[in-house]
Amino acid sequence: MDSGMRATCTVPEHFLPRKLSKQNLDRFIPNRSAKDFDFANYALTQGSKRNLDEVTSASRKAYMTQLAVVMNQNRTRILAFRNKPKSLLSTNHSDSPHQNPKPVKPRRYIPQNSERVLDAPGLRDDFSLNLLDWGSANVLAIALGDTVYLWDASSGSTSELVTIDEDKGPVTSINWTQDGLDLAVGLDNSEVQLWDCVSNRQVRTLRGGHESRVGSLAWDNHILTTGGMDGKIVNNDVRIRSSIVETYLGHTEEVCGLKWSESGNKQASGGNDNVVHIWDRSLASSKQTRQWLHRFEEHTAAVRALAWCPFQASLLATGGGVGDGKIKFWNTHTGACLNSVETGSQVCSLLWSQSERELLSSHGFTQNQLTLWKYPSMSKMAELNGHTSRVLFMAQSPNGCTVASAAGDENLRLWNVFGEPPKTTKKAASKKYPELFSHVNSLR
Amino acid sequence: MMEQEIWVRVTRAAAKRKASTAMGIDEDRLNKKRVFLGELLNVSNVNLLSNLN
Repeated sequence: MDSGMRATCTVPEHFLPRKLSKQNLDRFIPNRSAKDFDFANYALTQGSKRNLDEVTSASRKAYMTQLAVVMNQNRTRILAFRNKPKSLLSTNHSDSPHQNPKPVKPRRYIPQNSERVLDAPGLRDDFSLNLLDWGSANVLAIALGDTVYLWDASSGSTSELVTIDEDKGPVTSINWTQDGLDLAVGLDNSEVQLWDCVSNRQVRTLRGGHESRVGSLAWDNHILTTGGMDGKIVNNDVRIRSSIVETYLGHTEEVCGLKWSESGNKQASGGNDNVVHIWDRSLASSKQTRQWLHRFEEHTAAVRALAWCPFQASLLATGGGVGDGKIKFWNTHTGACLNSVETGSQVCSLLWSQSERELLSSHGFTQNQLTLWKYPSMSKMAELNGHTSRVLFMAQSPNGCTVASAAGDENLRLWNVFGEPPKTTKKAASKKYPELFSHVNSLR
Repeated sequence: MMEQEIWVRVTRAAAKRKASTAMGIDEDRLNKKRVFLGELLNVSNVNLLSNLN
């Protein structure tokens, strides 16, 4: 066809290239000297196989195209009728480095299904409670009604710690000490019990701090902070007989979330009044009520999801409930809101990754999913489905790789969402917290 | 405020439970007993149902 078109060509004489005496004048007979026999052989035997190969990435496609152009392999014709001038390799080669795209870091595989599902009968679907915690001794504590169960993640065995009397119960909150050996148990009757989980013995009962149920707990060494339905936040020094050392007033409704910062000098509290408070202990003095350091009123629903960033000091992530559905990031030093992300549903819980710059959020209606976000771009890396009601509670394993989630569907799911243990695990494991009740006589 | 769920103690159910215990009815025969933090084996079913939604 191409030869036929050339026959009808009426281009004037001066546009045609100059004819050489050696040149074959008849254009219909192939020029043998100009023919590339190696390419012809390759095209006839192996060329078709290459087309069947799948090119997985765009960068590889671009590379293959560049290679074909430089090596003059992008033609389809075998027979040659005239000599072609060779292309300048240096020119093409110099363009090649600039056109190469950046190599993309391979994305880690995130399993979409939970690796284990445990039955959690009687788990209460209450937004203001905190019924799940994973201690540093690799024991998961969960409160089901009046009873606290301990699940040893190393052995997979379950034991019962305590069943609370009906007049005091049910259990409204639990929180492990930093050494993972003792558990604080908040009750519906406003009391807080402290349990030694090695000997399964009650060590102490804290009274008088609250007038109603204690739904939030947070430890910082020997200070146990309690948040109640009365809106109060109480700091208890558990070594002292008269344990109340500070009382924070600021929330007009129930305290849903309570978190100590990693450095231990700041506290974040979230309430059913849609307010987040930042409290600074260094400003406080003994037996006095203190003013907050910052007060955030930008959320339009209750805030129970609070998470201090492990790799950037003073950075706090907060999540709003139904009617808000946003994750906000705060500089707790200046009080500025750095970012606000619409998630599309109720945010129930937040967890930072210990090794990567990632944030995991758990949600309610309609998807009841866990979402993994890349920080600071806040692009979605994964969505984990399986729960059939809102995922109120999340807890992270001591090595930082596994996340336990519990929902009103009375399921406890374990997700391998944060990947393999980081190289700094050895360093992290060597970090020790002082034993909290070492002064108490015990058979430990 | 929408998140706030008032927990009401169901005394009638508690009374019913006590009555059934007093009558000596074996609970295992009435319904299948759930194991606290027991492993659920029908994980694939749950996920399949989830995928249907």
